[in-house]
Amino acid sequence: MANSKKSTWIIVLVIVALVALWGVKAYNSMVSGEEGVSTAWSQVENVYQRRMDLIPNLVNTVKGAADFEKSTLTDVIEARSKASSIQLQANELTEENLAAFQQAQESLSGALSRLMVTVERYPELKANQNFLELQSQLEGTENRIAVERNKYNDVVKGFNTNIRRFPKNIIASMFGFETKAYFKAAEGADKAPSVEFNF
Amino acid sequence: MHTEFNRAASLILGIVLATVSAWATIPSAPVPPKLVNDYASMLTADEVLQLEDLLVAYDDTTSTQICVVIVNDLDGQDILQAAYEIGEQWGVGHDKFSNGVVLLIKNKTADSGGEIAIATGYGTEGALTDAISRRVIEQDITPCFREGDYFLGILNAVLHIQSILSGEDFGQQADDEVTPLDLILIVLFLFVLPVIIIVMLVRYAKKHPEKFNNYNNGSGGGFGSGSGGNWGGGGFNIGGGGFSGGGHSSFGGFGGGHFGGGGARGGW
Repeated sequence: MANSKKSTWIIVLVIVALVALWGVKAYNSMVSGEEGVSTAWSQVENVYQRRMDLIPNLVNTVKGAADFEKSTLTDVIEARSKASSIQLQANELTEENLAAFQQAQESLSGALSRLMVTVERYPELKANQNFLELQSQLEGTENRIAVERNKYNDVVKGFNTNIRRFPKNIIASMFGFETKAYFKAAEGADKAPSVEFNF
Repeated sequence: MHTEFNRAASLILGIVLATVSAWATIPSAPVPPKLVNDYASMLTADEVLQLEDLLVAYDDTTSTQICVVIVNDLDGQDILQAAYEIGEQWGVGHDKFSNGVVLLIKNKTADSGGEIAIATGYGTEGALTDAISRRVIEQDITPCFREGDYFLGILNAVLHIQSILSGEDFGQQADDEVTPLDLILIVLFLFVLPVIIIVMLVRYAKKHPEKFNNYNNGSGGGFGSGSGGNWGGGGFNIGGGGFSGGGHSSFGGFGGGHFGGGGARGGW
């Protein structure tokens, strides 16, 4: 009698221990998943920052061209300062925050591609080595942005699936893990805006 | 309700993401791995071998992998994107350094112009910047290609890229070789550990002779023979990579390097 009671207790204890072990494992996988998301996010920030850093140089080079349209340049400068005012930490990656970030960056993309279209009318710029190199850096950077955004979305997809799937979602809600937002591929934004020329 | 919406949203996003990543239709990695892959027969077999030797030797001495791919058709894909995909999916460059470069060339056909792209790995984009990549294309490749001298154009580009990257230190394949620390660990496992175990066993046996039947000098008590634990089995398996020394003319394989989208394009 006492013996069977004892063995029941042992079974219960073993089950509790196993569940706890599973819980710890699940929790740890979420922690490292979150770590992966913030690494991917910092790469995204890096490449956007890279673009920001190119702009002053680009603007200065373009400004040098005779009577270059001032309005396109001001647009770029304004869009840049607006975009640089929105910085997101990895723990702030909610839908609305990311949407605001993306919108600011996309209006900068728009201003930049308008600038590049305008440049077409200035043959002296198209023959300027300095400008051509900046332009290829800009294109490479747009490409990097597309790549890092894709990589970020992939990582987030893995993380979100992990914390949403039953029964791990119980652990996730217990410890307050929240899904991270995706970059939206709206209006063909997944592809780098074209800043090419016909040489 | 809210989660339902979320789920639907994520499903739609998943589909979008899947289609976005499906844009890539690049050739699959060559088996056996090669650094020069001419799918358009722009080069002669001899020229391919010459380039391959040059690139393999460079990989052997610096661990930097420069991969040349020539195709006839990109399936409507952007060439810089395709070059990036090749680098990332084939894993050009070493995992630890991501020191890979992909030179992708799309041959001129009846209805399309020739295109050139250089994609740089995370480890090479610092020295081989987008602007320099563009210069390599416009100064080394395009002029030769316009003359129809494809081999010389590629050779010039490769030599130029090598000279630019020669200042970079990528640890000279440290990841492939057995370091002194590894050797010490192997020696420890193979020799020192068994010796320690044996010494401890012997000491234990001397202290508790009653547990070992053979040394039992009467008195009856004792625990009988015990189960006499089994020390065989298991054994250490330190095989794995082996001590391969990197052959001279054959390419050891891509190293799993990563790419971030850097590079430049051109055409002729």
